[in-house]
Amino acid sequence: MSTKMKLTLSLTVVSMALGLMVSLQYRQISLSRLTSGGSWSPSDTEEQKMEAQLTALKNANSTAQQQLATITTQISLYEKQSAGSNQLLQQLQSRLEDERILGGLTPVQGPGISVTLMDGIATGQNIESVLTHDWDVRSVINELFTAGAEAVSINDYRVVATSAIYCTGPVVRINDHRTGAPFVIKAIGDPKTLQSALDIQGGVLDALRSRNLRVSDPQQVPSLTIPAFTGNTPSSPGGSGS
Amino acid sequence: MWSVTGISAVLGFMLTVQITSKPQASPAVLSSYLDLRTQLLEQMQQQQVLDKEIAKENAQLDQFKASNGNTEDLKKALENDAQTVSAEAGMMPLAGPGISISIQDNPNLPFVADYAGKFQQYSDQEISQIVNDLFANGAKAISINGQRLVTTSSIRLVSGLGGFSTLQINTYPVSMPYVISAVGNVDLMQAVINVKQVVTLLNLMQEDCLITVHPEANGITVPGYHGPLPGTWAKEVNHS
Repeated sequence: MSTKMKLTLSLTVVSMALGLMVSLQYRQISLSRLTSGGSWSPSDTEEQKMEAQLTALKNANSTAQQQLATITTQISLYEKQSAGSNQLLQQLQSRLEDERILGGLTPVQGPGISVTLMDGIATGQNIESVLTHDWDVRSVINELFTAGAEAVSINDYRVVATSAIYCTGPVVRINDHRTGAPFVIKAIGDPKTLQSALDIQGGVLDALRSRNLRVSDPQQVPSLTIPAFTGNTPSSPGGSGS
Repeated sequence: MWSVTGISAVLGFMLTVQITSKPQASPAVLSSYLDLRTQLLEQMQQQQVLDKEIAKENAQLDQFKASNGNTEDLKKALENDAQTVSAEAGMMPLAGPGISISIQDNPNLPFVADYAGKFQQYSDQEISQIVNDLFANGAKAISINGQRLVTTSSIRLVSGLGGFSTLQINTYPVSMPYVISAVGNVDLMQAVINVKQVVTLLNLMQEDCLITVHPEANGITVPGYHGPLPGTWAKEVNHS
């Protein structure tokens, strides 16, 4: 046999051996994966794809919120321009701004207070009583509005009339978002009045503390920023208004 | 020739060992996958809501831009803007299908020791719970004894002289019967009232609870809010 033929033949044999070894091993891995625990688990690539999708969506939503804020600022400028020097229209425009704040449609800034509600540490069987429930959060919010708060947020979700706050198992749902303890509540209003309303003896915070929830002292903050409400409004195209 | 075979065999062996040395999938992987799915769904919903809002605001902005400085057109655009915002804030009355819940003391109902007098003690929390459930399940607008519930609304039991407590909605005192009017999805609202056994619980506390359904197009009218507006402490943030 010529040298060339010998070389070709030996290389063929070697490659066949290599290929056989690789394919045998590959079969063994996929077999062992199928039989491990008998339960299906997603491949790493699928999870990575979802994580990438989630990050992209979060970024897109954050950009959309900024876009929304820019548009509402432009509208606000036009509103002032439309009012011109007409006093009636100026009053209309100023009322419009206040109504926007009432509806929670735009981010707002101002002095206020911040308070944090945290689950207590359970000792034995009393876990239920030391958890922060939806009604606990709601009663603090109610107290703040009674005391004259103009804008309130829970974990940076703006609270409006239709923000139903309720428990879904281990987390609380607000504005269609799940959020859990600790609940950081911010409120814009007269800081002294808000703080004293919460600090009243036997008031809502005292009631929570008596159940061993960890409630921070309400802190006066000179300037708070509360984001706009982003959820379905009654007159949005999604729902049917009057 | 044999040396080449030998080297290739070793190479192949090393390659396959590398491929097989990947770590096994752990049980924690499945729960993080579910978490991701939930988060993805939430973000997708949020994206839809934001897109709708942006479209709506852009339409209003376009109306302003189209006026091209014409005072009359600008004024019309401003008035249109004002109407939309008023409706969203709760300043305008809203009519539509809905339900009405009327709560009234009834001492003729059977006395149950564990529940007796509980409503008088916690009427603000009980009503707040009902209102919250309604808003979470299809209600678009709610008023209690004619007081529209807006963002800054409060439901508060205030004790006065002689130990009597008065219920205050938006700091206005109201008296029985407490009538909760809610405009929205009648089926969803009725369902949550049933599931939460609101009527049964109130009856245990010796309170009559009458639920009237108005499925017609203008079945219930919820009045607009006429109280003080915010804007003294909170100011809009400007993004240029």
